[in-house]
Amino acid sequence: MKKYHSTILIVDDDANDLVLIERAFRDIGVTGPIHTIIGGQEAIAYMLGHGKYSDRSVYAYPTFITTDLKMPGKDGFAVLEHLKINPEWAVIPTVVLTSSRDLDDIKKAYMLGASSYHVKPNTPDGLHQLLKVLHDYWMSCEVPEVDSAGRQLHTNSKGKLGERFAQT
Amino acid sequence: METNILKEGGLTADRNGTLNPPAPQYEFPEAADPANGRLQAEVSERCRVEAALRASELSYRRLFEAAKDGILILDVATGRIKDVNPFLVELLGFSHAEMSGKTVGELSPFKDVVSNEVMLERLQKDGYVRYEDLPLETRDGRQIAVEFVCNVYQAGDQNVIQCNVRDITKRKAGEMAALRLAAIVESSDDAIVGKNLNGIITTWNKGAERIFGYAADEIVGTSVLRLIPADRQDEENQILNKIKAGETMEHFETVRQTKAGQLIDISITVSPIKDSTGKVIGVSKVARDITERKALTEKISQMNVELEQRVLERTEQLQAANEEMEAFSYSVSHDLRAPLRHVQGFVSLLEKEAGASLSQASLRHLTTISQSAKRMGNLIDDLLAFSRIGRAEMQKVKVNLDQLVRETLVDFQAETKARNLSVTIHPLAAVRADRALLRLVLVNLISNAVKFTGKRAEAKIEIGCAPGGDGETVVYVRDNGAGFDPEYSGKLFGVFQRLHDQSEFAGTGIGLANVRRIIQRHGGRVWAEGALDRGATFYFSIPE
Repeated sequence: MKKYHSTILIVDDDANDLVLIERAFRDIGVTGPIHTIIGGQEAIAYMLGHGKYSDRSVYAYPTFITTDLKMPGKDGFAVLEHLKINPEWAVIPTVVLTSSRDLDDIKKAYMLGASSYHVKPNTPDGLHQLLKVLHDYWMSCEVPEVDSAGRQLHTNSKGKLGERFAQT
Repeated sequence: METNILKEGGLTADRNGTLNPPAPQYEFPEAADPANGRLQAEVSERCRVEAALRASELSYRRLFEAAKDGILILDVATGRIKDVNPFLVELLGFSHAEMSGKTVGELSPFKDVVSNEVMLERLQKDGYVRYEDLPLETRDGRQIAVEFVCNVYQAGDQNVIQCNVRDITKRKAGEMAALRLAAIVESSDDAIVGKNLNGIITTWNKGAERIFGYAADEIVGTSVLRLIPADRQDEENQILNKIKAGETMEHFETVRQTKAGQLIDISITVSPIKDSTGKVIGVSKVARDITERKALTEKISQMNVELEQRVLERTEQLQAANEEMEAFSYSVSHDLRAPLRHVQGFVSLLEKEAGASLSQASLRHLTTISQSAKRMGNLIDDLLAFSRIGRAEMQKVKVNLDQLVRETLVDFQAETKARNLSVTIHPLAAVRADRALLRLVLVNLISNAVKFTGKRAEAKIEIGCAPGGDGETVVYVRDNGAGFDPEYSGKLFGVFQRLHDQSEFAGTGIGLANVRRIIQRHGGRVWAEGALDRGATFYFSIPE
């Protein structure tokens, strides 16, 4: 089903980038909640609902995530890994947005389940264009059903034929 | 022609000296009376004696004829030759007749070595002359050596001189050869030792004395075991067994003990000494002191190990340096770029938020900040590319330069479409190079030519091959553009070196540094010719 609300999570260790990326989202017309998260550790805490993030009415499950790769402590790979090993989260589109063009980084990110990989554009215009494409694309995608807090719901298999997705 | 002297002895000989037996000379009448009978008996007796004499003379004659020494019979008074035996005729190559009647000194082989007067004088005094070793030249020019002995003796009532001439040429040559061999053996640096089949030393040269420390007289006659260290005494039996079987041992490396008790490394070759029937009668041993050589070999192998170790260390250092370089590049690309991105991002935000309230001058400042940040971003990109070029793996293939140049020029079509620019491509050779890197060279050089002819009403670019040294291809790119001051031509190929104002011709100044780096990695050279405002020609060479 289409999302009836969209929450964007921006993960980066650089406060300037967080400001610029959030501003760019706003500039291209995003009105929904955007949470800027400093560092991978914080991002994982958000997903687990630790501390202030337990209030899902404020810190809802994100519709999609952009994450930097090179961050002190838990880095972008750790965020991807956490998503990958938690099936409930693995379905959230996670876009890597980084300065690194390193081929190993690119490969590793995709192996850990990144939805796409982008190098941060050097110019403000370039950033606008990229974020618009990403936002428009992911907002047009079908996603698993969630409740009003953004939590994923069990699928209702009643009356359907054939094998169903295994529920946990 | 028959010779008279032989007739006296009742024998005849032709000039070749072949004997003809005497014909019967005495005929006896039938006996008539007792007196006759006595006479007859007497005559018979005399005949018998004479026959016996003749027989005796004949047998001596035969000895004279068949002797394997040359024999001369001389007249005592004059020293003139009375008789010559066939052997001497053969030896000297002069006929019997040629020698007869002459003195020895008159014979050409003896002319310079024997004086007739001296010889006769000494013969008269001593009855004997002996020359041990006379060098003679035979009629056909052979050099021979003879032993020459003359004796005076009485034959019946007269004295006779008999000279014996013995050819000692072969014996002398043999002696010389033996002496020479002995000298070689003696002077050899190697120890050359002879021993018998019981291991008793029979000969010992100077080399052996030097290596083992024993003088010949203290070791000859004693056992070779003295030279063998206690723990190797078995070796001798093994060696002797092999030798007895007729085998040779070559370059057998072992240890021996000197007189001073020092152990030395030696290499020995042991071979059997055989008599003329092939029977092994002794052992010859040639030993070489290889202590120094072994020490050197060990030193060399030790140095090799050290060298390998150093190569390993260097390789590790290089790898570490490479990894560091990788990390540095990564860091440059990641960390240096972020602040620039922020500068541009926030300038952009500032323009949006405060643009309306800013003065024109302030807005220009913001533009400058933004452009500078962008330029620095380009410099970083170029620097990274430059570092990648230095590390990229090269794949050399045969590159068709003409095709590559035409392909490269296509990239500039859009840029030069509106300009009056002509490009001439002269015939180009094929080279062995990394195609992608070589393309980068051409892109940089053509891009420079296009850029620096930007202000020409009629821009011209020429690309071709120039004559180069042996085994290299020289390519040039020539333009009629802004050129450069030759004084600074050395700076052309440096990193971030620019000879023109940024305002005049834009660029980071990395292009030619890339060109040089790529060409150097191919083992070639780069250089340039030009003058200010008179165009420039850039050359590069690629070895075959």
